[in-house]
Amino acid sequence: MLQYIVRRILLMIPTLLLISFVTFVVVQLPPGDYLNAYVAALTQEGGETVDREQIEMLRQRYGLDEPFLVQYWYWISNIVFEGDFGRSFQWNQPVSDLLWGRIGLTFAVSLASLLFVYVVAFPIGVYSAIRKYSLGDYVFTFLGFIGLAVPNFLLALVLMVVSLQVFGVTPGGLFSPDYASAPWSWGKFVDFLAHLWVPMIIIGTASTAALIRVMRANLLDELNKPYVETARAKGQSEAVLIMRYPVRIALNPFVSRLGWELPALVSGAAITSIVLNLPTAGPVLLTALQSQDMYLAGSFILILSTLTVIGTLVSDILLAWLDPRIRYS
Amino acid sequence: MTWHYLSRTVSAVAITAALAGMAHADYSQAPGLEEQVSSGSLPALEERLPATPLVVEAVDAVGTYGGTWRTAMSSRTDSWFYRTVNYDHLVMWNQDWTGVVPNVAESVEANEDATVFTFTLREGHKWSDGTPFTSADAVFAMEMLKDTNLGIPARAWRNAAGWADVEAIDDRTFTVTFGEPYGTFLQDVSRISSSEMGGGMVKLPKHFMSQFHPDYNENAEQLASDAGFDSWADHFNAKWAVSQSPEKPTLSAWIVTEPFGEGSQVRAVRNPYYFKVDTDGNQLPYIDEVLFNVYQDNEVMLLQALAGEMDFHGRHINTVVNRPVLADVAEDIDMEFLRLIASSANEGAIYFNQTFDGPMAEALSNRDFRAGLSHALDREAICDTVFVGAAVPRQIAVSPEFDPLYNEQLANQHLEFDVDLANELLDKAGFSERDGDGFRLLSNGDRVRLIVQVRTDKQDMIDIADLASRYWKEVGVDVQLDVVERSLSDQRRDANQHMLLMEDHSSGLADAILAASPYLPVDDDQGFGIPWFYWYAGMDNAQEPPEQVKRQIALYREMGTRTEPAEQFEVFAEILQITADNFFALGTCSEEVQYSFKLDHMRNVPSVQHGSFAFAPPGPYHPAHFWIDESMR
Repeated sequence: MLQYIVRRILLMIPTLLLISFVTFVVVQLPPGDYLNAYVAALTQEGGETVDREQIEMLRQRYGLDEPFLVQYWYWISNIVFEGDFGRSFQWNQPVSDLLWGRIGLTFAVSLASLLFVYVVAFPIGVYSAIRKYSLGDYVFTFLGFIGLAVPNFLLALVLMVVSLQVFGVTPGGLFSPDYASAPWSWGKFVDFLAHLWVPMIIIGTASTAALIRVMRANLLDELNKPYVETARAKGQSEAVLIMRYPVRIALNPFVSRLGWELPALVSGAAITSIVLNLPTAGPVLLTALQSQDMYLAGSFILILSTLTVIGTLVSDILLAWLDPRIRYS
Repeated sequence: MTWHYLSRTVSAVAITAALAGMAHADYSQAPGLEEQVSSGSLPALEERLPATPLVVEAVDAVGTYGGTWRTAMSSRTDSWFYRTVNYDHLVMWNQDWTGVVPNVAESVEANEDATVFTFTLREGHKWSDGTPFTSADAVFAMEMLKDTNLGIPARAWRNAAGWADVEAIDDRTFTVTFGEPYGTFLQDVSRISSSEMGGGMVKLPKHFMSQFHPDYNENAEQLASDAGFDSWADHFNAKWAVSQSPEKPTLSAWIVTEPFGEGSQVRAVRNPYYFKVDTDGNQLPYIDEVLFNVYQDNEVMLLQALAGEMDFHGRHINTVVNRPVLADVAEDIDMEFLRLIASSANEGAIYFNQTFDGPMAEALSNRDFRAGLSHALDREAICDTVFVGAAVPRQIAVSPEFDPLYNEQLANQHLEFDVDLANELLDKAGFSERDGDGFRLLSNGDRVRLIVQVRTDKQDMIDIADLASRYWKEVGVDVQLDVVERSLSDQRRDANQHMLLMEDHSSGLADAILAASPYLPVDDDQGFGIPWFYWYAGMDNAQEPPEQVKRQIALYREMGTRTEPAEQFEVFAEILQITADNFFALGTCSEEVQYSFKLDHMRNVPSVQHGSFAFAPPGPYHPAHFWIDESMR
């Protein structure tokens, strides 16, 4: 087990290096560089003209006139040797200042959504499987398909318009104005929880619907297996029987999804976050990509990838623990 | 000739003098500041105000203190912040946009050939932390603008002869000297610049900023690395950024307390040292704080406005499309629309590259060809379709709203939709031969095939180009649209590879002389003569322009030696006549109707404003004297 974990961790290093390189290539792929995008943004704002000499000066200072590999080496070597992610041109701040607060909130929202998904999908999935083709099963199936079909951002927009027209308030954000920039306190935490449920539900619906279907299908497969019959024949009570054996096996997808559920939640949350105006990673990543703010975009993707790789490892370990049939080889 | 920029402040100075003669108690301040003064945490008002505060005459009425101005900003580059809470430059636009008046500076005087400008500051003027604002700050600021390590964008402070020299005469007086005449210098200082340094001089407090520069503090490098920056220059640049550096002292009406980039809002609160008072001697600003919600998405920003939670806003969401949506709720939330006088030389200018290298040059450089294509367009239909009636047909020109520069020929030549005339002109241009598909042929037998380069970020222009290409096919000219991403478009243009290029321009009012590139090649945001611009700017890849364009450039340089706007307009009118005769580009639609909106309780906001970016509304209308009328809630 320990050997397996160490081997997996060692394997993460080349994986992440490769990811960092590909990320850097992709971020730089569009024509021009950050300064082209910057000039474009200024002129677009309203006929601002920009001094060419000044731009050339900035290009030299930012090192944008260096060859691609030099820029990549500068970025990655600073991260590896000094833990310095470089600076964001667009925000004029060290990337790490921008990164951590947002990554934290992003994961808070993502984990809350994940929790919501599990808490809702698990019992409904089990119920739908046991009471196959009952009225309840049909209702949940119907709701599930709706949840799967409606895009998150649309759900968010509809929710906001309804809340504006019916209740006269605009939802959005993760904090009330009073707490938005305050340091963390109990009050702020409670305020955060009060705002969290909206994105939690919106981001979670699609996954919930999908997981209900998966849980239902897996459990249906298990319910007809001989060991269930045997247990029932031996007089095991129905509730204990179902929860102890078939459900446990049907749980596999819950756990194995964990690894790739995290990045899906983060990227799926980007559009929802833009609509709901959440101070999370998605929107910053998007603007960084649009303005070719390469160190910021690259670092964001690198960190999210790192977390994903770790998430996959954790889910693999959990899976092995949950299902003794899985071996470490 | 020496010209004093005192038109409007003559009365202000007189009033100030009268006030200064009265007892101290004649100035009053916000209740919150009153408390701080009595508790001893803030000096008395008379010590905080300069000896001659700027007196603002109210648009509606003298206001009362208090309240929050709720507005919004975009998470991308945004000028709304600078226009509202940060438009305090040395000088500013007067409100009818005919010239420049003093603002932070008490007065300014230009010498005869527009090379030396002498600024006088207000006696006892202080930064928001109570430190005196003096000529030394200006000298320091200029030093920083010149520092190539920093690369602070500050275009107003240099001209063809290089950077300005700033010299302190005494604590309150300094001169700005240029190597060559710079007649539009004060106008350029009055413009905002989304790169924050439009104001120059007033945004780099020496006592605060010098600690980040190694010339003044040997530990600057250490300070930078402690704060997580790669170099002192990065640290310095982060510290002067107004919206991001709450600890930096300011001269503006509100001090940023919650900076941009941390949360989902930016908050700015009253500066107790602000230098403006109303006609009753009340220190401005009236409004306690300005709160910007930061949005990534304009549709969501619109929701805030629809909920009646935006007191006054004029950016991002005041579009033609949103007008009916806002009008729908206007009555319920007591909202009114304000008229913005649009500065729009054109929303869809189509440039014919006069320096194009290839067989098509034969057509592009033919005036009859261009005139024929212009007559082939049904602009009424185009403008109605694309702008829902909010734009009118016009060539690339100064609007009739601005008399000094309006040129009837420039605005209206070849404007009418006339297919027969179009065909006649195209035949006359020498392209009467047609191929089997009915398309006209060049003299070498190739088809006349125009490639129009349009940017992906400008849907209006794409729509215009699409419609135009259909009309042109009707008269036998083949057209291909090349819709590309903005920076790629710019790259191709700079390499002079484009055939036809679409751009949109303000420059339709007094700003025509400041951003003159639609009319003559003095900048790169045009498409008719990029190598000519290189010639003008003395850059590589230049081509010598034809005589009439050289004449324009000479006139433009002459304009630079004039300091009085009326004289500048006179010279520029001559330039525009040549532009009209050249007809290197054709226009499609000019926007006339623009608007911003406010809730009824927001007072002193003029109902008609200049809308140009260069004018930066509402900056010149003194946002510090806007107030919230609680009785109208």
